[in-house]
Amino acid sequence: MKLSAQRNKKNQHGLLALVSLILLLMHTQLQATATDSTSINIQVVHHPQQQKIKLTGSINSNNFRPFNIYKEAERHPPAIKLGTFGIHSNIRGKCQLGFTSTNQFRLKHSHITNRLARYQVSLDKKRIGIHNKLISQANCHFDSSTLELVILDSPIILKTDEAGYFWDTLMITVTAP
Amino acid sequence: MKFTKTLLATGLLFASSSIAFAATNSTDIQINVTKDAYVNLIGTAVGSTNSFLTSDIDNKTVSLGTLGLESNSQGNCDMTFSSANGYQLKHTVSNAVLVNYEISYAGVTNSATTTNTVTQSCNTAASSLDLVSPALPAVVNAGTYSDTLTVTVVTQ
Repeated sequence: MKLSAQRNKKNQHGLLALVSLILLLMHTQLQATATDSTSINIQVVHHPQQQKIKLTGSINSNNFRPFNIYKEAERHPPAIKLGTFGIHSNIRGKCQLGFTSTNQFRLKHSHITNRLARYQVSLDKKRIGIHNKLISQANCHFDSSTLELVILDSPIILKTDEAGYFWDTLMITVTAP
Repeated sequence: MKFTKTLLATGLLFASSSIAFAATNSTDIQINVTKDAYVNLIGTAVGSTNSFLTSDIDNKTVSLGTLGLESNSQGNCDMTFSSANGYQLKHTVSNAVLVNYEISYAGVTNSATTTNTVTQSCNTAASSLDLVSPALPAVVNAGTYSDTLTVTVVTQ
């Protein structure tokens, strides 16, 4: 009877030790994992009123120098380089380029009023078209492109013994979206 | 005769005392010293608010600050990235999407379509956390576009 009681007591002690060991292991397991977290806020503000746009390039110069268009047309037919043209802007996307001309895209002799040479405008070899008002799309920010004048009529029409010069005034308007 | 009995009783008493002196007892006292494991996110990006203009992020990579880890664990940690708007900057009023962006950290790109877990040492010096934006749309409505990036680190 006494021996049986001692055995039970030993078993109880063993069970207690086992439970303690399991609890200790669980405790160790819980302590092995740590964590942390943070939030990072991102804000992007768009102010359309801050849009800026500026025409750049050599054709933007006010001291545009005349040249011998007949010789130029003979040398590099049919395109005559007018200069470089670009837009510096903080606006993304496409802007509208509008071209208007005093003589409806014709070079007009200063004295011979019926001597007209039709021309076309090209930007980086891409012809914009011929209408009373030419419209094209371009990125609102690009570095200098080459603006050329393409004579549509025969260069012979530019050859004349009459003193004077051929002229037209080309205006370029850039409109942001 | 009487003397003999007394002597015998004394002898028995000494014997009994001798048995009592040999008794013993013992106990185990277990001493456990534990230190909780910890890992902390460190760097300037932690809890930060980053404000940009659209022109700042248009087709660019911009820094959101630096991010690193410090811990008393010598192993590796898993850093999980998640975004409240699914890696999209959304208008705070109309909810319109400005752009789908990516987060670049420790040579790993995290986005709505790529892995969002970075595994590295729990003790890593802070390095740059970058936002990578493609080109923005042609037409952008005025206003503020935002998102909240959550970074969670867990020791392995």
